[in-house]
Amino acid sequence: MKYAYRMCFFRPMDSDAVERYLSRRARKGWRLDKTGQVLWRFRRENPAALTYAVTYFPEASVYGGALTPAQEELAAYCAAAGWTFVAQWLRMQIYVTDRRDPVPLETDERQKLDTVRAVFRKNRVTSLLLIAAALLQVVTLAIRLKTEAFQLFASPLALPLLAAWPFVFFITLESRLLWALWLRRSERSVERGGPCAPSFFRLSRGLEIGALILVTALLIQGMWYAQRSGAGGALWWGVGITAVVLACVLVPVWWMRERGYDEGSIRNVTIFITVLIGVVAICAAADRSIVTPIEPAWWYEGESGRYGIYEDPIPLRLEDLGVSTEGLPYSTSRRSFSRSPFLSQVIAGHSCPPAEELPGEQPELGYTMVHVSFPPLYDVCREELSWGEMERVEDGRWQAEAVYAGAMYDGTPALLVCWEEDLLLLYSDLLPQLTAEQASAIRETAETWWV
Amino acid sequence: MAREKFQTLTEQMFYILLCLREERCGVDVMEAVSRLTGGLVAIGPGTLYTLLEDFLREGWIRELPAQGRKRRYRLTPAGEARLRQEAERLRRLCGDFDAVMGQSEEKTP
Repeated sequence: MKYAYRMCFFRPMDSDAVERYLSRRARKGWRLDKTGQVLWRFRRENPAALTYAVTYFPEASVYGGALTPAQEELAAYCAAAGWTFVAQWLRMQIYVTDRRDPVPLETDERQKLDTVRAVFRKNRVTSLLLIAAALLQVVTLAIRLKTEAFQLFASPLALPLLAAWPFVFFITLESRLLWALWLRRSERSVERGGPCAPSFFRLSRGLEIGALILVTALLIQGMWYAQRSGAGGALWWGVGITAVVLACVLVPVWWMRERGYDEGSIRNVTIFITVLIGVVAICAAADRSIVTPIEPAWWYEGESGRYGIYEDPIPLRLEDLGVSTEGLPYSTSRRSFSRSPFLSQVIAGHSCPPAEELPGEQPELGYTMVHVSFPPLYDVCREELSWGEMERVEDGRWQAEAVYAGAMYDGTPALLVCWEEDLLLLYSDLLPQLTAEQASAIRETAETWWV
Repeated sequence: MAREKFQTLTEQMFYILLCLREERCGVDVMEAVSRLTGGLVAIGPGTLYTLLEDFLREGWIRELPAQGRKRRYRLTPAGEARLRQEAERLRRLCGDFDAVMGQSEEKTP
């Protein structure tokens, strides 16, 4: 037997679209064999003019599975009228007949509308919760845009992040609004003795497919940037974990569905697995065992332990500022690097070797270097980096468009140097010792390192 | 404004209740209605199933002990009263029709 699978993105109210689609497929020689949540299986048969019809059953399991006695009773009525049960999907019951002029499954539009309304009443809580969750994420995103736009736009996943939750919000809200509109139109039509209104399948499918393509493209773009930023490892961890989580939930649901477990059992197992995965994820995240760190350039084996030494872009070391590290590695640093279509940034901090190796309080040097690719973000970055508190000063060493001076939250002197597309925030007690030559070398690096 | 459910009975509701004066299962009801109306009123299986459940909730029909896997139903006194009320309403409609149309036919030369 030859089978073909098709991805079907119908929504619960699209019964007329389902009927048309299945009849069209049957005319081409493909008959619906089995429904999945998204993938539907079609069986190769001789082309035939079959009529498919959908009726709703509010008590049916959204997971499908074996028919309940009540559904079997409905199937018996349908069989007496010449209809054969084919499959169920969500709470739709799909029937087929080869009769030319069959008695429709539903002959009372008012009754049909009541049934559809009952089905949607069952989905209402889930739908509203999803809208609320998506709205919460959109609001959080808006707050982040307002308060930490710089960090948000620096993320390689900036575009997917900016698009994903608004997409979910759009889809859930659009679905809810179209349902409300369909209900209103159907009620008016039925009151006048007409049929239920046709669904908005074409409109909603066009909108959703368009939005889905956009988000997928943005996700791919985000992954590509993450790979370029050196965060590819952590990203693939994330993708892998998501795939495992989905498999852990979907495989048992599929297995139970195939064996005809009832909706309550499947839902309980799903909740149990989801909670279990959530607990494991929280424990793993707390343990940080799933986070892939940025690898240092080399490791320094000290008396008290092993320390990562990172390579940093700017040609400035603590030794250059007059600090003696007595032959120990010049400095250690913790580095973060991110790149997005909007901006790229490096955050690094130099410090002397650990106190056990070199006793006494040692000076530190820290910096954040930013390259702005999207000019409208330049002022946003400058504002965030200066905390809005630094004052403009004249400092000829940097040959910059502007230099701001101030202090970090712990009182460490800080300088924000602004070039045409680049920004550099430097903070150290040793800044006054910086020479014009060192500043010039740093400037050259800041402008060319990204290339 | 939406009409209240069961304020008036549709043809299909009327005939289902009428056919359940005798004990019947759902499939028998469909056949009986078709036979009684000469095929003029057809009840879809989905509609029939939903209406039977609604009538059970309203107490207009009751479920009898099943024979095999078939559920069987029968009209209750409350259902019969509702059916008679509807028949009376229809008779009144027909009476009004006759009165008005009869007068106009008399006036017509």
